[in-house]
Amino acid sequence: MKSLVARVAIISVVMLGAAMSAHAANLMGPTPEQQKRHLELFHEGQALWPIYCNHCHNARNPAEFAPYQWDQIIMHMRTVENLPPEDAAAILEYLKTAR
Amino acid sequence: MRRAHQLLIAGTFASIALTVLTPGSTRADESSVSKPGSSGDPAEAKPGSYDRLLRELQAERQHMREVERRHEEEEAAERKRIEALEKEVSAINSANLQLQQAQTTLQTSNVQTEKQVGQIQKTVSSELGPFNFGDRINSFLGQHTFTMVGDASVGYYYDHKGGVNDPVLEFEINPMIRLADWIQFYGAIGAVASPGGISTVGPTLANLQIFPLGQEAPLELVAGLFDMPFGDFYENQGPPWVNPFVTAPLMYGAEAILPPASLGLQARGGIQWGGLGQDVDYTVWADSGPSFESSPGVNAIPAPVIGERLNPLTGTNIATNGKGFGARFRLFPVPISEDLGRLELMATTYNGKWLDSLWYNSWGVGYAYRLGPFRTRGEWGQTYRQMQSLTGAAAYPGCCGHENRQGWYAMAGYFLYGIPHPYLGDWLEPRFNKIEFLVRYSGVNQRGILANDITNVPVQGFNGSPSVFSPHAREVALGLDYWLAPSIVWQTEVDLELPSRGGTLYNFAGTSTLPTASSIGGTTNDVAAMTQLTVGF
Repeated sequence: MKSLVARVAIISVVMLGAAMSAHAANLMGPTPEQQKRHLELFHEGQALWPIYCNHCHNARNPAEFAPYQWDQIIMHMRTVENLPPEDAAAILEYLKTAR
Repeated sequence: MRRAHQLLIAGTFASIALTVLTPGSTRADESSVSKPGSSGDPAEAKPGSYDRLLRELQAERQHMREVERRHEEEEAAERKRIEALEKEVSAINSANLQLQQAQTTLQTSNVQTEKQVGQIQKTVSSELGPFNFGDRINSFLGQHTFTMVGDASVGYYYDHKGGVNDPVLEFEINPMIRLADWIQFYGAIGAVASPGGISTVGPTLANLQIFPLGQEAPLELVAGLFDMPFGDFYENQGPPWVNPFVTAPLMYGAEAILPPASLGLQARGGIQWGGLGQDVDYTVWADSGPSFESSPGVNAIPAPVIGERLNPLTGTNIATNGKGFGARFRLFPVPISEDLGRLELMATTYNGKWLDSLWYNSWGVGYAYRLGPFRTRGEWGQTYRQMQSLTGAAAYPGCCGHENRQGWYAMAGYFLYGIPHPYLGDWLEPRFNKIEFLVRYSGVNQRGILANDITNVPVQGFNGSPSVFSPHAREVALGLDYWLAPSIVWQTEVDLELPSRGGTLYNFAGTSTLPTASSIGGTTNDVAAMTQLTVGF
């Protein structure tokens, strides 16, 4: 019985530690690899935004909407305009960052 | 050095004193300096030796003074050198202190700069990617986020033949509720006010946009009431702030040859097949099929007739067993790296049953292209509607054939910023750049039209011209847009209605269930002018 309690306690501590580590990683911000990926997406979106959006309507200013709104609008526009997933992600990254 | 010199002088004086005060010794000392061959008698040698000793002592004193003077000079010179060196050392120490202070300042500044850079990096990073500001806002807002976009427009329309001279007003709001990152609701609620009153209220779109395989897969589902994805106009060019013209082209206007919206399920997506910008996309859907004014429950027209209009929405059509299936494919062949603009080529087909077993078939092709200040797009579409075989009393004049319709449009626009204008000045130039000239030619061919559909009451997007209701309507639209902002535009349009002769006019008079038919001969042209301010938000 004691060994069972000890095992449960050890597992709980390990899980708690893992959760805290994950939370700490979140608080520390993106890794250099993630930052590099975001930068690549940003530049790709910067190139796509005036061409893709202007194809149907004048490209809207990134500052017009909040980031969470761009999440929704691009979700809608990707659906309506059948944007390739990676292109939609790049344009979203640009709109949310450039504002 | 100085001390040794003093000892030497003291020793010299001491030795002289001993020589003078000790005669024996002096003599002995004198003997050592006497000339060789002297007798050695102390009585004889004493006076000469004494003088000589005095002279030697004098010389020695002089020598000593000389030595002392030189030493003093050397000492003074040495003191000066020491003072100079001390000054140099002091200056070096001072400079060193300043350098240390500067280094300390730089180190402090460097630490502060590193902190600031770190904070900036954190700030920048916080707006990039999965840990960004938006996501934090989303976390604050919760998983279900709500956004609303839409448009509003107010205008004034004039039409010569219809006697139209009226204001019009329109608004539409599009709520979007994102339930999760794989599903979102999209709707449209609007109203069109005109001299006839508020003509449209209520939801015109309501669908769920679903990403069943996640955001990375090129598959989206749209379930519910959606814009008909035939061609590009209904889906992409419908909103007034997106359509550069006040009116819709004839094939999508008051006498549209295709239904504008449908109830069903779509599967769609796009992939990049080549370089950046080289895409291909697909849309396939199944819906409740087209419906017409004579559909059960609509009751606008008592019986199906050639020339009747399509209903704005395909209903559930349970009473008619209507069903429809469509597919659209679009190709974007030009990569953006070529700097040749964006070209779209598309083909669509939509087929189904509209009244139990009667066929409805349609297909179309189109293109769109934009390069800098220039844009153009066009479509051509054809529809076939199988009609009932009527005999006896049910047969009406001119009935019993099938209905074919064709429609097309081509438009072009050019922003004046593409024209060199170096001498306009600071005030005029930005205003000049916001102007766009537009021209569009559109037309529809059909066997007949229904007199009951003809109206000259203008609503947003319809100029009120009766000529639009000609079986062979043709229209040239000239537009002048002033773009106050990307989604705020003041539009001015002149429509030249140039219908061709021919076709049949059907009419349900009174409560009759059988229409009368008459041939349409020559038709007169018409002109309409509109101005409208539209805001997309």
